[in-house]
Amino acid sequence: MDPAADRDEFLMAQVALGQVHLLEPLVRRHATGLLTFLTRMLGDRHRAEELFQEVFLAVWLKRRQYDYPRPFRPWLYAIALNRCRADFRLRHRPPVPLSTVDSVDPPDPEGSPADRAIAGETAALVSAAVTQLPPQQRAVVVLRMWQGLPYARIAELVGCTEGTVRSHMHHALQALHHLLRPLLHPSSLPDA
Amino acid sequence: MSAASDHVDRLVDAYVHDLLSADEAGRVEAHCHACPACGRALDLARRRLALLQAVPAVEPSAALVPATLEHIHDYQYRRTQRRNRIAWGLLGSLAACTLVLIGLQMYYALLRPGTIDLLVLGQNQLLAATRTSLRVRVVDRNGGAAMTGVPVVVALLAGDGRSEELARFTTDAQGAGSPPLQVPDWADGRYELVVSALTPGGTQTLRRPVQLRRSWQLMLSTDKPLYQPGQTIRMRALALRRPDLRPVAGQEAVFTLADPRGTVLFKHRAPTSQYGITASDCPLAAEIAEGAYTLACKVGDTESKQTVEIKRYTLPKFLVDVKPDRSYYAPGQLARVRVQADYFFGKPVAQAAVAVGVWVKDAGEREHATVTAVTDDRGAAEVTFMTPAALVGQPGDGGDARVRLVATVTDPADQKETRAVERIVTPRLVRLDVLPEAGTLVQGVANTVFVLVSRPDGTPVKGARVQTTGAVTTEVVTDDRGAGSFQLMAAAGAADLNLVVVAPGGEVLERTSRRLEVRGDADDFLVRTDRAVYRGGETMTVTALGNGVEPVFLDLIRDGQTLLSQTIELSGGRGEQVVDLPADLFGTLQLVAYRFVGPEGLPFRKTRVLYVTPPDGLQVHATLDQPEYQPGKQATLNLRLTDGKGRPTPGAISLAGVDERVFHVLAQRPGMEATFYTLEKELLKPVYAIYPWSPDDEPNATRRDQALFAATAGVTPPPPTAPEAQATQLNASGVHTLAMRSLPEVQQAVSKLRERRLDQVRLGWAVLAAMAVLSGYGLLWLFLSVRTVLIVHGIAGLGLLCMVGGMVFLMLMMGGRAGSKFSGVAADGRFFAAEKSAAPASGPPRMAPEMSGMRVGSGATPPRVRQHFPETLVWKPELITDDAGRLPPLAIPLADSITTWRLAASAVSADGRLGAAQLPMKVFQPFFVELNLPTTFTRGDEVGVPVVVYNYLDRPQTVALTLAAAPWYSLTGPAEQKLELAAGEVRSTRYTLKIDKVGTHRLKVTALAGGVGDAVEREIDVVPDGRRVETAHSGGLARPAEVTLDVPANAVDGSVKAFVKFYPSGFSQLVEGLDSIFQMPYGCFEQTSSTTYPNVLALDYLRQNRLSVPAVEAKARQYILLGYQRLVGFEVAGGGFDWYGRPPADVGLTAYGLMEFQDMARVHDVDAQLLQRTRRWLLGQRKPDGSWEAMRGAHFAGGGADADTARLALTAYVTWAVFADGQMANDTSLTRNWLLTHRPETVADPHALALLCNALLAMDPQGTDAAPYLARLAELRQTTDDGRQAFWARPAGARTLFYAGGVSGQVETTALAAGAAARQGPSAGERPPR
Repeated sequence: MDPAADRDEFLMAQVALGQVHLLEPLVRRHATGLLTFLTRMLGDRHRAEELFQEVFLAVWLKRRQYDYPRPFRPWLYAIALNRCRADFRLRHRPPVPLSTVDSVDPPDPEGSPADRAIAGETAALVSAAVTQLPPQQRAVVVLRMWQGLPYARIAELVGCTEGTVRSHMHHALQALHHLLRPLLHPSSLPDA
Repeated sequence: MSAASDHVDRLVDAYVHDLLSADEAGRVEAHCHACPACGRALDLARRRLALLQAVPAVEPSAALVPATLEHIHDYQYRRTQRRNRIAWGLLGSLAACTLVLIGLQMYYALLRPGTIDLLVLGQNQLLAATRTSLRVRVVDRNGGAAMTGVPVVVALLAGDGRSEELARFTTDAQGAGSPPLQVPDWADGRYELVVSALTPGGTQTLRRPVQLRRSWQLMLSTDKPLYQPGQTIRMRALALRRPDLRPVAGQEAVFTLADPRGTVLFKHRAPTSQYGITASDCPLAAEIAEGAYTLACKVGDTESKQTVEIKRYTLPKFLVDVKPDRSYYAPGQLARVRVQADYFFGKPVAQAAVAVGVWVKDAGEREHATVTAVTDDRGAAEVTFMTPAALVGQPGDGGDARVRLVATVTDPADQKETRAVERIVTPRLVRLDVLPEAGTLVQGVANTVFVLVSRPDGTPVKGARVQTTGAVTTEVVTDDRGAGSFQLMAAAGAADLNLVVVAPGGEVLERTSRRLEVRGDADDFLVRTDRAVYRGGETMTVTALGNGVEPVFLDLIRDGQTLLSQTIELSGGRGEQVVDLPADLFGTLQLVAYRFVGPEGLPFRKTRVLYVTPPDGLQVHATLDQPEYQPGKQATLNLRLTDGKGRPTPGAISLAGVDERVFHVLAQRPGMEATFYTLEKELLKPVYAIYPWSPDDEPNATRRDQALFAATAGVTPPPPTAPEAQATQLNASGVHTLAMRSLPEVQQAVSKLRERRLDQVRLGWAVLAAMAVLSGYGLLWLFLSVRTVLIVHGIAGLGLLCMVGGMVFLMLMMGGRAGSKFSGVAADGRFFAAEKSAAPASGPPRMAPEMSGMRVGSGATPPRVRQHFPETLVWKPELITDDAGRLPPLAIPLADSITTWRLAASAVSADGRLGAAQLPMKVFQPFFVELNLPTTFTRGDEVGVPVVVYNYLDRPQTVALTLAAAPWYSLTGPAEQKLELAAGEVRSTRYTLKIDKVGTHRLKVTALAGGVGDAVEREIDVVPDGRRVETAHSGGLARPAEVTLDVPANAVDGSVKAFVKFYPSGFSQLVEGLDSIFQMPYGCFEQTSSTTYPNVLALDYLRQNRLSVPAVEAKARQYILLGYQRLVGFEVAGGGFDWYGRPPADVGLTAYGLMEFQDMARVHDVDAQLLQRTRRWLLGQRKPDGSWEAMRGAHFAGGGADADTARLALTAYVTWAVFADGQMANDTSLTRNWLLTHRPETVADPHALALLCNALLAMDPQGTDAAPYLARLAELRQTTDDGRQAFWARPAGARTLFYAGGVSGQVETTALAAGAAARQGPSAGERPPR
């Protein structure tokens, strides 16, 4: 098989030409990343899955707007980000308080249950802390931390300059510094 | 050790997240190595990073991906479903619309009208509250069958919703009906006549607007035809309602008297009486101008006018009658002329010298011969002369010549009267007229052809044989009326007749040939009445001859109203109908016969005129108690009214008693009302063209009447049957002003409906096409890719662009060919009328104090002085009889005139019958003296005044004449003279007077002879002999006015007269001389302007005040047009105006021209581009500071003022012209600022100041800028010593902008200042007088 034929961009170009069955590999290929992005952005897994479907439906509907060989992934995340923003506008979701966050599946399933529980809780608290960030900062942090996008690409996606993106990142880190302090200094946790 | 300020703990997160630059990152790293605190912070930052990185990715559930794909699939499926539904829905709708449109298209394309035709013939003007008729016919054009028994309804609808059913009937065997209609008594105006026929095929309805009106016939009469200044015009009007000619009661009549220029001098309103009579007296001023005055009486919209002559005249002394022995002569024939002379009191003029001049006309008029004679004791004389053997024929007399006989009779008293008559001189022996009964011959029918043989003067030739060859060979002998007839069966084309007229004695009088036209229409027909003149109540037999079976319809029309309708059935080419003429029907009638011919059933009309004499006219019985009266006594007149059969009839009588002599100054025919009201001269014109004929003359002259009336016959063929003509309605003729039929209307309506509906269907197709395009476009978006859609867009856009471009190109091409529209200036048709109410009529006639007769005692009692000599003795406009038609005996105090009075009585009955009678009333005494005075004397004249003594006593008389002394004359010779008169002799003597005093004086002479005597005193005006000096003062009457008149020291005594005229407005005074205001333009720019500008301003004034008289306005407009054309010719190439149109143009003159054109534009079309071009040119001449400077050598340079003032004046004037009426408003600031640099107190010249005020007001009509300048202008105002007049004066020698100095300059300056103040309007300050 031609390796180029397996690239996202080629597949998307075929999808744009009406090859709906080629959408499936794209969905599968970006399922984890996109769902992670949506979950981190929304702080709500169920809503993230709903939006996941809407994002790919949008990909299908906007397929004629895709401009091959433009990179597929940023285009996908741009769609996703717009969906999230629309969702924020519609729902006005309040930030999830740190004390009410659900546990997150631990990254290392092979650790002890206690470690896994702590890791899961820690991951949940970190996720919740990220959710506390303002949407713009949250988008920058999520795209940077979990999608690993360089700041320049993030600037393209969120529609602002790279300096602004770096500024958002800087302020987000300062906010996280305070939000994650209990995790790094257990003594500073409030009394139960 | 690092200082606290160097710590980087705040940057450690940025460091670990790669947010720092390389330098900063190195610094942070180095510092953290060195600084434990910051190293800990870095460690914590890395742990935070680790925490973040440790958050695991969110793994999707196994179902998420399939669910997502399913979601997409579902959505796609639903979308496809929806798209398909839309597409099918659209296509289905389009298909349904297409089917509907096809159905509609087919239905309306095949739509056809029915074949039922409803025809209506009548009049579109109906007289309110009268009876009229209407011809209605219903036929089925499919086969042409008349539809019998069809119910028809005729109704009248008013705009306010009122309606009245006028008739309801069913059609007869011819499918026709002519119901009598009683027109409602509604107000005059437009209504709708609706005729509906309920046919089996549906209701046919015709609607037409008709005019409902009231019509009157009005006759204005006066007591006499001419008047002298100072007399009273007595007017009387009789108003009768048309068509039944019944008196109109209670209507307001307006009498007016207009002078020869049309200025109304007298206006009086009076209501009509129960007999339709109204009267008014108009006293004439003693100083009134002589000429032809117009009297008018108006009732409603009907007006009757009469012209009366106002002049000074003397009444004739006796009547001269000239009677040639023949009414015409042959050249070189011996003519005998009998001259009869009679005094107006009935005695013959005996022993009078008669001179008859025979005048002939060739190149000019010359005297052919003069013959003399002396009258015998009966006042008669006879002269003979030979008519010239050769004369020049005159075209107006058909090539015949005329001689004029002028008889001058001089009586023994040396009184002279002249009378002239004319006679035709012709070599022709007879005139022959050949008249087919229908005007033209009708093919295939026995036509009656009338021949009329008459002498050149129109008298009929009895017993003449008219031998005819050619189309018919026959011989007819003329009857007593000179008429004969023969039958002629006409073939197609024309009938040529050779005619020979043979006298009873065998002499051939005339040989001639005539060609008679034959109408060749197959449906032509002939209508013959048994007579041409009928009496009301008689029976008229109408015979119709023609081919076919189509009936002939008859309508009798009078005053535009159908009075009677009948139908003649034709059988075997002939039909007859007996028409009973209503007893109350009289006058001139039009008989309209018509058939509906051809496949379209269009009417083919024949008209002829009939005359119905009033069945039972009024008889006025007037009798006097004595055959003769003495002057100053009283006469008693008995008047009685009866009908024609002698039955008493109540009514009203108008009585006038006028000196017979007046009618011999001008001719007048009193008592013509009956003819006036019943004759329609327009209709009878052909009769009058043939003979001077009146239906009253010979009511029983049947054949001749018929022959004469044959000339009134007319034919109106049906309109052409071209399709376009069929599509229209029936052509309305002069008799049937309302002619309509339903079939063309239905056809038109159906055609219109079809066209309209087909248009709508076409519109539907267009909409459907648009919808299809839009649907296709929508489906394009639904089914095609964006790229494909964009390509389609591109192609469609290109096509649309090409289409729009093509349309724009076509529009430009068509627009270039479109004609321009011109609009004219509408003329205001108001007549100018100055009204002047007259003083009430003067008191009753002044009677002599003593009414004794001529016989005097033996010197004891002086004879009665005759001094009352009115021309109108009695004037009773309305005397109403009792029920028995009687009036109480009317006492008529007689004047002192010895003459015959003509008593003329006109009568009208309540039902409108008319009658008239005339009666002479002789006033005489056998011995009397008369003064023959001219109309006026002139002071200083020495004149011989003839005194004539008439002695009709049976014995000779020695008459002692005494002229009464009076201070106004001095007598040359003795005041007493003696005359010896034989019995029946008339002699005269003369007194030579030297006239000394001006004024109105009386002259008295007394004649005494053995026991009898007479004295007469007459009034005479003495006019001054000097030079006429007039002084005029004018002004308003806001306050009581007092005028001091300076009478020259050497004024002729008694000649000073003051006239006071009152005018309703200041300008109406000018109107008297309006003709002279408007002048023909001529000369250079200045001269043309000098004539045109007053024309413009005067016309503008007249129109603004609605005083314009059409004749005056037409003249003014013509002059303005000529002036405008001349003025534009002085425009210099490149702009501006010059005196002679040569460059360079002059600024001041151009501004003047601009102002004139702007004023002219209010009354005349002025080229707007010319105005704008001139304004621009003037602005182009403006100096950078906003002012204008006079051009070198220019006339309009400000005159003798200093340079600054002159420049200010010129600039102000040009500013006023350029910026007037808000023009060029964007360019004012420069000039405004320059003008405002001249402070009010610094401007000393009122002329420049007035111009400045006008300029500022032109730029700012609110007057904010101008206010201080106007105040300054008011300061400079001067007043006359009495304080009643204001003006603006200028230094001696100063000239205005227009080079006016002295009084002219003051007038100009005052006018400009007053104009500025008037433009500003009344303000707190006092307003200068206008």
